[in-house]
Amino acid sequence: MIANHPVDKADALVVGAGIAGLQAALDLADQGFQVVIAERQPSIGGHMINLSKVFPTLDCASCITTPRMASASHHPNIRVFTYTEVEAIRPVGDRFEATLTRKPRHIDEDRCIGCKRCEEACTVYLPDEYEHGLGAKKAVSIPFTNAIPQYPVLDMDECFLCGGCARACPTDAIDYLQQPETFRLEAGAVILATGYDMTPMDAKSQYGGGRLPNVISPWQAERLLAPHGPYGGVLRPSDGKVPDSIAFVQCAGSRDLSLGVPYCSRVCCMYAIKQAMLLSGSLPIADITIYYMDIRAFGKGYEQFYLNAKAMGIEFVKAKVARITEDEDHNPIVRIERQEADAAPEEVRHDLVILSLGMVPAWVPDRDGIVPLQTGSDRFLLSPKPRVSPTLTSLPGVFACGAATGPKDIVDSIVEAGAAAMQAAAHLQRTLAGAVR
Amino acid sequence: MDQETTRNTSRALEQLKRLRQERAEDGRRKAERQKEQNRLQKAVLEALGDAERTVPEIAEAAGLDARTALWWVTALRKYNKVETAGKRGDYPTYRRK
Amino acid sequence: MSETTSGSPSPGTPSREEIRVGVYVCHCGGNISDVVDVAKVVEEVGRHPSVEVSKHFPFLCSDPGQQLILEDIRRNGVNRVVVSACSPFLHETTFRKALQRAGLNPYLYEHVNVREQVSWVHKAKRESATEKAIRLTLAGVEKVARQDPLEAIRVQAEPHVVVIGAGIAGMRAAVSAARRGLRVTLIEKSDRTGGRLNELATLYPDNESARAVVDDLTQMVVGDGNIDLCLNSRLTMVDGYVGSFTVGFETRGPEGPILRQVRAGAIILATGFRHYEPFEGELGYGQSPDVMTLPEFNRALESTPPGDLPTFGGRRVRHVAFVHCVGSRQIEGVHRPQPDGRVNDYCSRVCCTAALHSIHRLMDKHPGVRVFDVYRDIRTYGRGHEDLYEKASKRGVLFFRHTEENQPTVELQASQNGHPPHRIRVRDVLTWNEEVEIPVDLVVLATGMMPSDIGGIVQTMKLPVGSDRFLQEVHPKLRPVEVANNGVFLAGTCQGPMDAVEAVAAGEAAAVKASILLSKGVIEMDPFVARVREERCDGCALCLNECEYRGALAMAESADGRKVARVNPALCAGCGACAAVCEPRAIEVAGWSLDQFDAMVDALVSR
Repeated sequence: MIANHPVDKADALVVGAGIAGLQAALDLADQGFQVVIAERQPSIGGHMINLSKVFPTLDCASCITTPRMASASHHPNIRVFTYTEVEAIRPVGDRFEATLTRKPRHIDEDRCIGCKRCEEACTVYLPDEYEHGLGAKKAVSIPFTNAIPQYPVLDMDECFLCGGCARACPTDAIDYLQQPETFRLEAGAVILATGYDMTPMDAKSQYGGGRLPNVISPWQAERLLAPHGPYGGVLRPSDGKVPDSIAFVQCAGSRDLSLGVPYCSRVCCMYAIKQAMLLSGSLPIADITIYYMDIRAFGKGYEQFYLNAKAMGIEFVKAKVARITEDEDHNPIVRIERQEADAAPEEVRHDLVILSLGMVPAWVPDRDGIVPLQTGSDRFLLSPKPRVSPTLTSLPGVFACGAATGPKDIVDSIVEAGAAAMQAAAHLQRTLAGAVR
Repeated sequence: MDQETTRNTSRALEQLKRLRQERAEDGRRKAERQKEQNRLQKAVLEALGDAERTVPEIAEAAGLDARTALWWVTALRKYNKVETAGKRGDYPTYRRK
Repeated sequence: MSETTSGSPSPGTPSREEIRVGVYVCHCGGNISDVVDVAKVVEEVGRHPSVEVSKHFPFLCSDPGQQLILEDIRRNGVNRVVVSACSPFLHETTFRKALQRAGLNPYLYEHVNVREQVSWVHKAKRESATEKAIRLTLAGVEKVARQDPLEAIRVQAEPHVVVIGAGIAGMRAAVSAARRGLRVTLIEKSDRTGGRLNELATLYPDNESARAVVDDLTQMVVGDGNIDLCLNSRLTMVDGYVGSFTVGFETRGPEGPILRQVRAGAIILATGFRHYEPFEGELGYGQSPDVMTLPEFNRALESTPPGDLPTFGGRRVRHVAFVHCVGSRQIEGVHRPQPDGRVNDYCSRVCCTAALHSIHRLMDKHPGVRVFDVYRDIRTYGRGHEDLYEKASKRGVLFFRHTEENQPTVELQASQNGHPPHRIRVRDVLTWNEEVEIPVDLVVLATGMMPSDIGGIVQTMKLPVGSDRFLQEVHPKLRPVEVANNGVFLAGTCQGPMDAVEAVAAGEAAAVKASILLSKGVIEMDPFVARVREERCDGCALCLNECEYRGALAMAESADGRKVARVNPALCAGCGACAAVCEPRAIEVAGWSLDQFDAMVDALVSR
């Protein structure tokens, strides 16, 4: 079946349309190379588009991400395939053949005008993954306000076949029987910008993540703080109360060998400090505490950001958190052992607790297949020459950047994306010149 | 609406007929869930009535736990059936739109 | 001048009656709309006779937002656009490009800042904030209504890059640019490549040989026919503009100095860092050979004779303490400032891991030593770094943690019997804030990073410098390796503390920006530069006295034989100093004419 599809060609294939993938694609396309971006989610933008504001400048995440999303989607040298899985990448000579599958949105994209009438008509409410479960979506819905492209996805596993969307659609774009489409792409270079996941909420069961309603993930905290967040403000999930006392538990998924994540995830100190500052801005009288081991504010302007947070009255407590339970009103009770005082463990009641989870790779070659590449003991991709060419992988012509090569903040991901684009461009120049000869 | 669209819509509805037959068992299960969703939605809207209420008040009136009530208020807020009204104590209040 | 063409109005400018302005007010999520009543702004501005449509939208910079504007241009006859949103610094070019996609001249656009200038600064005053947003937007409408279409200035791009500094970031940038076919002149002030890496034997965390890294990159540099490596060379002058810089440098040689000049389209700065130098008496430094900085210690460790215990300077050493954050994370009023009056309040990023790496090397070579580590926070953030920290604990390194209020002190020759001679006093958080005395033979200060002394280059090139004295990028996320000077890029630790992996990545990122800039052969620049209406110019030449940009303004002969002012658009910065002294209003900055300002002022005060 695959063989019947025409083989598409490009200079480079970029896998992943988060901030690193978008930047790498733009840096290649701006040099005149033809780029294909494959993104498994229905919209480009990655995790970043879902954040509230970003450290240390406190720019809104959308303000930084949306223009890059728009530039990539309008770039004459870039084609974007969203809702598309990369099934395999295989070297053929000094080029690559990739097999990609476009998952069915059950929407005829040539007809859809993004009017949202299907979504209004649909009666099936589902937890919205873009709100990390805090909000709702419909069985047919456009992923989020700034999504690119503005096509809805109809979830046929959840649809109960009422036909409401088909009747509401003014352009007859609903296609209940749409099938996955597999095609091949030949490319001269590949950039993997496959990003990260967070460590699971319930990895440390003594913290109650996933079990206690008011112990939430940092992603959920981002949504609470986002301008179009699910609740229209900062409320706690158990009962919609405005929290008065909020705590962050640092290293809740990192620096812990028992979780298989012995390394530092590099961003959690800074995102917690940022969220604490934003919370303090929207809830001026709330008490905000950060329980931590070491504050790692190492980037440019980060230490000053940390000092600002302290000056704003955010309380930093050097303590280990032993466990989190809750009282009958779902108030989390945090049992801490302070480092500074010769005191017995204390129990502190808060209204809301955020677990500062760590980063793990979203794609792991020996677990997920696609293309075999060498990884470190931390399972992130490994360059054979990290100090000469940090974005190389063990397969010549395949490059990696962003969180695929280790936990990384946005600034470092963007810089590394440029480096990967540079490597890919030099590789293409060499191999294309070889082909001409 | 022009003729072509009408014809094509009936094609989409043809697709539905087929799918409904093929997925009859699954359809019954989903219809049950839909009934439950409709019930919860109605309970939340009725609990609001013409008043401005907090989530715990809605939960109590609707006989739901507060977390479920909040999720439905959030859903109905997004789809313009409910709006935030004001604040009472530590809780925002909501009203029907 | 042959390579530039100046901006001039295109024919077919619509007359005032035909002007149809589209006004778009952005919510910026809630950044603006939480304070400014955007619906009211839209309504009020919509009454202006030149305004065709007036709308508000959650995120105008998003694709659907831009689409809204595009549709109005294509379908509703909008021929001028005003967007009231964030700072133009963020998104002015975003919307200009949108106009271009719709087929409209991109300069028929005005970006009004109602976020930084309104909603963020008037949070408590909704009503007056809204009124201010209305007036600013109306001023934008008046300005854009008087705007002529402009053409971008096009400059030929010299396919040549000058890289300053041949450390690893500079070498990497040079090699990457050369592999894209660009000619590269790599200027290095010392007699060898590798920069600060030459001070190190092995690199954290995996003990890769520093020599091997330097050799590898040096071979790539030397083996690339596109790269001209100039050692013993010092920058003497930089002139010109993006696409066509003239860079002068002096190379010391056996027959005396040789002066050279190259023309380059872009410049990459890779001038690196220097180590913080403790002042005399800071933690005992300079007062005893037993107090040394980490770089000094690393050098000394190279030549210690093997054995259970090391000897440094002829003295056998059993107890060694490492003190972190020397010259970093300094606190005003506690630490002595640098000559410019500022303390180093930033974190130097690499010293925690570097100190731990040195501790392991010391213990590997001399297993009998006792090591003490005095720190505030251990910042082993990178890949493999945390392992070094874990292993140090397991090997018996004793950690002492102090707070910012309680800095450690060193007392030299404090011991009665002289063994070990010195003492560190620290109030240790880990033992419940007790004051602890650590007897030591040797104290190693983990010193931080400061930018290399490049005051001359900063001055010559008018480079922006941050409060930490490192070179300042335009924006950490939007343009992380670019400075405000067009065509100048940053690679590595001249921008801020980084380790080797990060510096090399930055070098490649800088090279990619140079490649993008120069790959099209022609560079487009905004046309907001001075222009002269020669018929009005009386040849007084007052403007020349005001102009600060060498070569931007000169007197020339007009077609009818009069002496008139003439602008070199590529060198003009558009500052407007010339316009301020021109009585007949002959010289003006395109896009910022005095009648536009008059009309804006009227709009601001007339409500």
